[in-house]
Amino acid sequence: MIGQEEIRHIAALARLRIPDERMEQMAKDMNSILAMVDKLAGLKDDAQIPDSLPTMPAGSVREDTVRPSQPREAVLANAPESYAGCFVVPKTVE
Amino acid sequence: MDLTLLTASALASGIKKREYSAREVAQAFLDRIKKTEPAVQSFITVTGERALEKAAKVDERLGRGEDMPELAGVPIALKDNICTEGVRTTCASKMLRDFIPNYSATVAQHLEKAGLIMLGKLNMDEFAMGSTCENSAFQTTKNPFDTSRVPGGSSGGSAACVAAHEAPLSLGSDTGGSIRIPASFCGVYGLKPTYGAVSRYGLVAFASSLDQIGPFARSAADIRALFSVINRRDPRDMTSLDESLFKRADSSGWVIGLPEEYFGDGIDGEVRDAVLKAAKTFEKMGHRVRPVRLALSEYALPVYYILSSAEASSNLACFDGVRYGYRAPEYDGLFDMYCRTRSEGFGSEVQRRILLGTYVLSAGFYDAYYKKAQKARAQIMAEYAAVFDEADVLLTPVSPQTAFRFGERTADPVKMYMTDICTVSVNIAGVPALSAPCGRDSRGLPIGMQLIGRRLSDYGLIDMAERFERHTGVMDTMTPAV
Repeated sequence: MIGQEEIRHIAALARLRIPDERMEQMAKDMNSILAMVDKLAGLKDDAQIPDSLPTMPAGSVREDTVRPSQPREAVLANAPESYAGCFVVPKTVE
Repeated sequence: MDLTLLTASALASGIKKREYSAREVAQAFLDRIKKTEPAVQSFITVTGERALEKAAKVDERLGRGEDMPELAGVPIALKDNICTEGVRTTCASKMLRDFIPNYSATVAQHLEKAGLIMLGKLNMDEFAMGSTCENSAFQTTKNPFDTSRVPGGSSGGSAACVAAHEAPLSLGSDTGGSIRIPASFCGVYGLKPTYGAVSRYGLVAFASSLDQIGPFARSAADIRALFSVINRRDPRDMTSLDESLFKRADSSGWVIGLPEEYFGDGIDGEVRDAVLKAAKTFEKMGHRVRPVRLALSEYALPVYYILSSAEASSNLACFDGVRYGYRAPEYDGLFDMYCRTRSEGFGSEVQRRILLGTYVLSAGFYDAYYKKAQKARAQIMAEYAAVFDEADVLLTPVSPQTAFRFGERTADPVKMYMTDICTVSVNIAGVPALSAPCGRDSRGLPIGMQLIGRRLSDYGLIDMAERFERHTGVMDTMTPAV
């Protein structure tokens, strides 16, 4: 079971905010999803399987060579706010 | 002649023989879109003018006697999570409502080089999270066979537009069934290729170890033609595989395995009967059919929701209101800006999955959920490898039921997630699977069968579906209501 306080904590980690009026529903949904995924606890681990594994065979990697990147103006064109060739963010130091 | 009734291969041949121009073909589909879109609503953006210009260029080149690729001049539409330079790419999210990419996805570049004509961008569940297309922030795509029912998801627009003859071809993406489920609900073909067959560069990532782009069409031959355009190694996607590994295959004599776990209680009787009838047909066509076991199937759904949500929580961290996309209009400092932007920009399903993903990766829960799911993934992959010692291909339903009504499952996320129960293990194992129409239920709704193959056997699955199509004439019965 996951409680509302824990959901608030997880939400903050994910930079989300669940409004109070939606919290009860969110807790209900999360608990029903967790009940579904908890079924996995019933699966016996295969001792042969290492802790970390390459999940898929990869293709080959390319040479790490310097190439032109996208033009700055083109990248900034989608920014919510930009100034003097930079992304503008709220003040981060007091 | 109504050009919109033709398959992509027939259109390509007519364009090459100059029986009609690529521009006429594009115009015919744009007219069809104008007529059917009020009922179907599969497009988020229609790029009509651009399509006509590009088609005219193909006509010019053909007029000069240039040797053009197989599908030159054939229209196509793309799921709106595939980046297209200069054309809005929204992921059906408020977060990316006004996002115009400054580059095209590798697949979009391949289509352009092959002379295909993009008609526009298609509706989907927000960030590809959903099974019905009901999670779009903009509109609700309807099933062309019954507009009171869902088209399936998340690539609902991709399936509906092909079923409604708004385009002969489309591309979608499949993380846990997002190509195959809508293909089955809408009576068209949909291929989830082998992981690595198609470059993911420029596909807005949901769960990178599971995502794969694939084609939709109204004939198996069209699936093959389009797959061969996009099946290319891409140096910008290190998981992509060399196309020479994918061999054209003859599926005659392939042994078909029927995994008994896929024909149990949760499967609608009419769906089960239609898929078992297809198995009988394959027997008549000379295939041997035998029962097989996939005992870990019951764990596939938990593994999928843990891993896909964990990856999504990481991939979607980039939507922070700084470099692109939505930014909340009012905030108090940086942390507040992040929280408001993401809470206002993402819909509720996306937020639920980010929360689940953050939870299963968080200190104290990582071992019990994420690590356990990774180990289970390896076990499921091993089980798949073993089952292909007993059979060349597996035949299953695509979804436990045919298309259901709007709102029927939106109140209960777990009930909604059960829609994916027959499809998620394929992504976990990284193998290819094709959803192919095999009949209609008593309400006239299409039923899909799923052909699951070994890694790299994509062309064999297509061959098998094409033989079935020829033997049964199944596509002659797939006439939508709109």
